[in-house]
Amino acid sequence: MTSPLYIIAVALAAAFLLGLLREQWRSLAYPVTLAALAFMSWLSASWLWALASGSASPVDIYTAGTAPPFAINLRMALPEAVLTLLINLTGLFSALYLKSALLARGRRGMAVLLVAIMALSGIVLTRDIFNLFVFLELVVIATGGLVLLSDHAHALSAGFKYLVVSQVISILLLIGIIFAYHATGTLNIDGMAEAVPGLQNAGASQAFELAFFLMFIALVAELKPFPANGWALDIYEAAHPAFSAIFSAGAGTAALYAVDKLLLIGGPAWLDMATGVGIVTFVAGNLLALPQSNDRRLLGYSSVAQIGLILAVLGQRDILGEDTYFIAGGLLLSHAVAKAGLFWLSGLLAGRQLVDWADLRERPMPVFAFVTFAAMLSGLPPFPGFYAKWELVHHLAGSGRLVLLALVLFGALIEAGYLFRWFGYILKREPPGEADFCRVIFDKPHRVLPVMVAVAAGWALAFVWGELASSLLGRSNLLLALPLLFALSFLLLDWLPAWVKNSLAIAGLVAFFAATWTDYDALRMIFAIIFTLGGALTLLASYHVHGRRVGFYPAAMLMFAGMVMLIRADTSFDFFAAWELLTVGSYFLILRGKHSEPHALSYILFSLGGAFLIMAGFAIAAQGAPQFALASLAHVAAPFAPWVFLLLAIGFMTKTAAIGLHIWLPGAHAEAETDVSPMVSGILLKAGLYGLMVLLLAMGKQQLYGIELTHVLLWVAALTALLGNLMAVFQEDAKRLLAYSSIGQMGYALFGLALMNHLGWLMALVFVINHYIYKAMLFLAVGGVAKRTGTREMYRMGGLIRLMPLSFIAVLVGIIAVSGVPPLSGFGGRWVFYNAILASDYRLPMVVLFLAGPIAFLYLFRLIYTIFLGQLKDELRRVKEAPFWIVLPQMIYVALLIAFAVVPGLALHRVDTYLNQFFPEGGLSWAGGEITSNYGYWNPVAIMIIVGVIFCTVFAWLLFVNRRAQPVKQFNIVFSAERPFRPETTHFAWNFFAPYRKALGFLTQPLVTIFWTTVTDLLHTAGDLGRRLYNGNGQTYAFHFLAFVVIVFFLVGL
Amino acid sequence: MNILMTAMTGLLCLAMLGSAWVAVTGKGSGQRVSIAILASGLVSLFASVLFLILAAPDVAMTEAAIGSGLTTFLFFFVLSRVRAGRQDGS
Amino acid sequence: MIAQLSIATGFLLILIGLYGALIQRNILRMIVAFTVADTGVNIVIVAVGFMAGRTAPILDAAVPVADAAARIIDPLPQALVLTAIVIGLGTTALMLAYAFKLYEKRRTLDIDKFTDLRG
Repeated sequence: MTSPLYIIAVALAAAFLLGLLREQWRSLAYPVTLAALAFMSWLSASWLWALASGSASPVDIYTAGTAPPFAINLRMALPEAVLTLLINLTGLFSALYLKSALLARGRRGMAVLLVAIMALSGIVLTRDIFNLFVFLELVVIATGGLVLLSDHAHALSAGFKYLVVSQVISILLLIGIIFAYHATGTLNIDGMAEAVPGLQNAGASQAFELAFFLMFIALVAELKPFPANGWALDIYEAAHPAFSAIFSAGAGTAALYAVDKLLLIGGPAWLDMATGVGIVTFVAGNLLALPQSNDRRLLGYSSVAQIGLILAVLGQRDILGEDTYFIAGGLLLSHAVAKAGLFWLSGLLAGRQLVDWADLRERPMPVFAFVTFAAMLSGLPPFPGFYAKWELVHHLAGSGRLVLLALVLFGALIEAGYLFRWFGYILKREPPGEADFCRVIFDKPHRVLPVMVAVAAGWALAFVWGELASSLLGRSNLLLALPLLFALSFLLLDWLPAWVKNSLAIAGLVAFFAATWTDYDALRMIFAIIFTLGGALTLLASYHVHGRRVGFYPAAMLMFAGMVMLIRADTSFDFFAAWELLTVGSYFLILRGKHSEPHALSYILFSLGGAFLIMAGFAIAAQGAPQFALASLAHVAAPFAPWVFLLLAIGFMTKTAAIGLHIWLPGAHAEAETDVSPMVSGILLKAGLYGLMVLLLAMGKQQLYGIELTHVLLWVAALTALLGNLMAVFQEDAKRLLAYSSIGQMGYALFGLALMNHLGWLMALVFVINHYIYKAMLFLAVGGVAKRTGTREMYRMGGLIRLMPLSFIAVLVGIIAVSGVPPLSGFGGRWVFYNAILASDYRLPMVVLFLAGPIAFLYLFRLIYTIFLGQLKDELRRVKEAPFWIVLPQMIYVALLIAFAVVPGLALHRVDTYLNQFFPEGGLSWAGGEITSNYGYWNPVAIMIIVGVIFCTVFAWLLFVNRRAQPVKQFNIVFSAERPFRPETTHFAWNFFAPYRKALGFLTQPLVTIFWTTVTDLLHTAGDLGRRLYNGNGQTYAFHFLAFVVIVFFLVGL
Repeated sequence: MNILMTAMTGLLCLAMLGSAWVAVTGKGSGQRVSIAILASGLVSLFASVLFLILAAPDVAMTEAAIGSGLTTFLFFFVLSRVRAGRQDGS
Repeated sequence: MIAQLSIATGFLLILIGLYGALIQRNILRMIVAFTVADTGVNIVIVAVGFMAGRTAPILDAAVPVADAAARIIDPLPQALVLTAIVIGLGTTALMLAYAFKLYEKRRTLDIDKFTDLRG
């Protein structure tokens, strides 16, 4: 194996060679630079390969022919190989990216770049503390030199501030080093570590502690901790993006490893300091990133924050043990690759504001690159950050470090927030000016290539980390999961026309169900059918779209993959990974709606917040056990169990939009595309119910401080049902009405689950099936009407019954089913429900729920009356029936509803029997066509016949009576001397329920919305206040650093 | 002998601190930057003598050459460029 | 005694230097202050390595190799200082280059005028 010393030697040789080149060979300078960097990368890569496959073992390289402590030694082991590879590759691709800048600056720039990369590698490889200092100073000088060469006023002032603070840091570091040497007698890191415990004399060990503090704080300062980091942020903002990539990915990496080496010397006493500084930096960095509008400065804050997190991870070494490098490495590599990629991407755009990135929309590849990087940084599956975060959270929970856990998740949520907000800008805002992005791609391939390499590296790392997780820790490699791979394959197939992809998607879902349907018990079978076959059915409506529909199918299939993996999950890890996948897929799907930017952001924030709560719940439940099967939720130890229950319940309720956590739903479902709304409202909400079912089945009733938690759930459910239905009543927009209706319906289902008796659960499951069918149908109907009439506001419609008869039939059947009027399936659900209530003791929530029923009928009536009945408007005289492919699924749903009404036992009998194992009493008995419970009986066929007979009788009588009715023309209306000024005030449908609004409107105050808006405003204000620290003055930054040293000194309590 | 050495060292240190103060604040000299630069050169010179006393002759030589010589030269070089610029421009 | 005196002087020089670096508004004076602080650091390092009663770590006729170990001062700190002096020169030169470039851009050497990037 080639000696790793060549990494340093080749770089130095090349740098010198550049200076010696004669005039005629000057043009060779750039290729020589690239060749040197490529060689260094190859060397690191070959060592990594050899060490990972076991064909070489870690080696110490001696210099000057003798061993330490008389000479310096370097080490090449697995971490060094990985980190030097990262640094060298970043250097290589940045050099490629910098082609025009380097050629303009000449050989000086290239030489300084080579020295910078060499010094960064040196920091990683060396085992001598003074050698570390020298390499560090080289990095400082090279950084200063590179920034100087960029010649902008802003860059120059940034570079100078950097040098000022670096000088102060190096003074402290030198003092620390000499006193450490004086105390231990060696400069070798490993030697010092061995000598430290042997310091007998109290005075000597005190002196060493002080010296170590100085060294440690100086190296920690290199990580740009909060608040001593103003000097670095300016460089991120002002320097050339390729250089910022090196600064973020390379310098951060090297400095982190240097701190890690130092922790080796200092021992466990210093871990707390590292954790403290790290976590404060993580939270503060992300908080201050919130109000940023300059893209590179935002990336700078994000870099600072991520490096802080990794520092905190290093500080948790005592509980992480062997997993430390897995976690820290996963976070570090995710951060480095993503940040380098984002900085390189920023160089392809002209504008520096976040909203200017809307230019990226022209091409799918850059958008995909951004998504990859954002997902890596947010720790979404299948990227390394996901596995790392899972392990970290579990270790922290297992050791009881819950405050730290909460801070980590809080910071991560903020980070996800601003990253997804940025993505919303990219997809939804107006591109700034001239669209010259296309030109960039074709004129400057040397700039696009590094970005593509970063994307590829990101996915490769996802696979590698998955393999590591499965071999070292027993998790599953997510990238090998078939549903996920199926979803990702649609990325490659996105060039095909939409109908082809649609057929593939439907075929895939059906085939998956067919192949796996024997795996499910009765409970999961219902969900499996809804997720796969139900999904396929709703996808039929997608045939109405022509063209290619780029980006729709990967997102949709990602959501379905997540849902399918959710019901197949046995362990908490698989469950959670599936949960996040379906969240991400549905986010992309919802974002496609024309006006859905703020709603999609709201959705992803609530969902991720809920997901983090779920992760915390699982972590506390596991208490450090490596694997946690979902069934083990039943055996969680007593003091933790109610908390676990609470965390998981709240997490799941964010998905079902329980009251208080519901504000994302109306916007998200209403603004989504026509065929997306049925999917998210009909199918996705059930994932939350599934989670609650798993939770309640396993944990049952839990008490927290004497309060019965399921009782609380009952109240939440009742209020959700009542308020959801009430808010639906006052909506003018048809889809919003249906969205609020979903909130109310989910309240009903939750109520049934919380009753914790046999019939309650049966009713909840009946609801699951019913709600899917009629909500999907109603959304499709309304969507079809909206498509033809051009509006979603109900007061603009009216009289459409003759023009859109099929939609009318669908809506009619739908509202009969929802309202619970016999003979349709809603009635069956109600019947089970009333039986369930009679079987339980909770009176007051019951009353509230009863109120919700007739209120629901109000909005249902409005839906059909204002759209289809009444008078036809002039502008709508020519509308046709909704497109065929939208009507077809509706008709299928109508058939299903009627069938389900007549033969409910098809689905329910098996579930009823299955539920007997959990709730042995109170079941139903199925005899022929009749169903009997403890309180009464129900015969669907008989009801259908009776209702049919009544209907036919009344209908016939009506026809008879109406023979002598006189039709009146549409415009035969008289006003009583008042002229209406706003046209809508004359339409009967506008403000339909005004009297109800006067009476009950106070219940629909947007209190919850105000609450959540206040929370986000507070976060933004905190960020803004923090920003004022960075007043741009280099001396102030140096002063911050010294103050930071003093404060940490006192906190550490020397 | 020892007391003599110590006394010399003490005087040297005081002189060093004095010139350092002048270099840094410019109080004792009016407002000119060149005085500050010369004072810092003087600090380096005294330091190199101190190094001799501390039995580090090679360090003393280096400090004298680089600290007093090269650094002071660099400072004046830049100062002259800045002055020249000031006369050309504003 | 000599060693303690030198260490004290060194620390005082560092403090004076840092004080100047944080107070001065003229960039050139800042760099001068840093130079003073660097000199202070160097003095501290050499003084820490000083051992009373011993001679300089140069092996020649006066100090033969055989009894060198007992008669010379530890050479390591002096080696460190040599490196540190040169690094100090490097950073000083770089900062001076910056000072000049900054002056070219803004015609001023006042550091308070370079606060354009903030927040």
